[in-house]
Amino acid sequence: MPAETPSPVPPPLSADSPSAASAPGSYRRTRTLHLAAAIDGQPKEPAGYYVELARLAERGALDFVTLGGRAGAEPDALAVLARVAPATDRIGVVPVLTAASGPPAELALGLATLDWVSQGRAGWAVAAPEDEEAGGGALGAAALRPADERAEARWRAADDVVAAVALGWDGGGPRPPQGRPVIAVDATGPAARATAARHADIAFVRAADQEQADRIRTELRRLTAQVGRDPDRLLVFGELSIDLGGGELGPEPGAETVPVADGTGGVRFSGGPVDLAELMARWHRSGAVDGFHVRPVEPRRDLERFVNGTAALLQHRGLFRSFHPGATLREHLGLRHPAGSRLAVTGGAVS
Amino acid sequence: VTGAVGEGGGVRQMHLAVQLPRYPGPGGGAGDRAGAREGIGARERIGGGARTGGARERRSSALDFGGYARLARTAERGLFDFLLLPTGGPGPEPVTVLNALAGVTERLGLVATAGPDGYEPDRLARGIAALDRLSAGRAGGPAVAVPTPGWEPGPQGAPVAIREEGGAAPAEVVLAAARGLARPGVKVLARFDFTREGFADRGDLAEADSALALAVRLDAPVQSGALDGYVLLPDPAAGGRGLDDFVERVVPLLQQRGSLRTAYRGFTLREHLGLPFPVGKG
Repeated sequence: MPAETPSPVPPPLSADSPSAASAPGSYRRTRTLHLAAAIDGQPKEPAGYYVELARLAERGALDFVTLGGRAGAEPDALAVLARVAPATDRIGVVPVLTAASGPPAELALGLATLDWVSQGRAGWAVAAPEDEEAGGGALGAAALRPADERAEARWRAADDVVAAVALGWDGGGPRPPQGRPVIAVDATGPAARATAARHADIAFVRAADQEQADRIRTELRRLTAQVGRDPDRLLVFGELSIDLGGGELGPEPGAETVPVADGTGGVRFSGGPVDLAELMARWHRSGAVDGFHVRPVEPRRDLERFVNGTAALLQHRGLFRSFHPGATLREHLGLRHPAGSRLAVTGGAVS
Repeated sequence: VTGAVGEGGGVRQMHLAVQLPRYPGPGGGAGDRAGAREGIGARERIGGGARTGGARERRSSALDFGGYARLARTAERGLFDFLLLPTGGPGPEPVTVLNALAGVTERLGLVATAGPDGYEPDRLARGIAALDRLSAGRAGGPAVAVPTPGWEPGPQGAPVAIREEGGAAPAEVVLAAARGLARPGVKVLARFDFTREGFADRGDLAEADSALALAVRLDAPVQSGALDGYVLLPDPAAGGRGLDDFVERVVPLLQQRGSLRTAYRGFTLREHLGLPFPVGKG
């Protein structure tokens, strides 16, 4: 069996994509499509529900599942995913956690432990601290500063926490199996992009079309190169809410299902699983994204349709893996384990 | 239905727990790797069974959550009331580990007590409350001082309040260092260290005589009313072997004496310990 199924055609790169000129001598990156899904819901029996959805996503060979980060979402995302980890075998587990809740050392230890109980499958989707001035807050009805300034301040605070957490993984505490759990940042807004460029392995981008996704990706790659990182080490995932409850539009000549703003700052795709596969193949082929993070509107229905419809079709076309060749989340993503991690160095003694 | 020999209602029930060793943690050192290879880790893989592949097997010697998982399953096979995770010193985050262990067990109670290391009882209590919700009533730990807003009682009402001896916090179960003393309204479990008690070497309990001697020795204080049970500390150097031997050889003897259950009767830790559903404070 091939280790990974590459695209049958050489992947075209967008004209201005810096990866066309990536370091000579380094091996050529296969542009593998990556898929991830949020498993948020409001179940009566949380453990069974989340385990069921994570196993479904694992059957689809998805890279990882995320949990948390939405109003009314599961408040103990890390605890739930620790519960999910031993009930699954390969899929990555990525809680959405605010980069401010408690001392960084606690955050670092909690995530290191998630990495430990999952044997190297943990990640962290970084959420910036709450916007305390928005909506009146304690200071009155009018926020004192414009929204973009406030966003920048929140992400500056988050950036410090992420740096401290990464430092904790590198030396201050127990070393996680992956060295560093995978870091994801929602880089849709400009304020988050510096943090994504400095620290993230994955950037989520809520883009309504591939041109917008491509613009943000290009900007992120520029910023990443600017801070001295290899831009190929930052994967850009288009983030879509998906409503697969309706029928397919695809067969109609000229018809194209496009995502639209969902009113909460997100982007929603409504259509059939085949339509979604077409859209994903198109965006990925154009080089606008490395993968997708989907948020099923009705998790049980839409994740099932996504796995058995969309992902299955992408697998059939050789665009997406049909099994996990690796064991860790970094392996799924094609990202190296940082030097010094237990999985990178065999027999390396730790003080 | 109770007790294998039907010695009548006079037999007091023994409660059993196992305290997991404090591992060096994620990353660990050479010592923990060697221990895992020869002991616990090498024989267990997360997820268990044929579902796990070669990669998992290959890495099991370097990663040791599987050792915890194996001890937890062994304790559940022995119908223990709960598993106790120490909270002091370096190593993985205890509540996260307990959540993971809830995924590899079905009935076993899951407990962490506040230690002198600065793990604040309030923070631990919040984590234990979440664990209680996610495990459907199998958690125990520091008493929750104030229920968090929006808190809804789960299957066991609230986590079982468990603390170390010497504290002042309200408790339903007290864990004593070595010799405990029963007191009304509280279950007292005394620690029983296999190494200190001379069961360090592998195979000690394989001798029928020593297994029976241990069963008699453990049962006497329980039947006299001096104690409610034990927290066992298996020898970490023997991997999971010490607990295996105990469950295979001593547990059946205790069941024959009628002092240990032959099946879990409930699902919650409160039910295992025979504690009442907590009454609302308002």
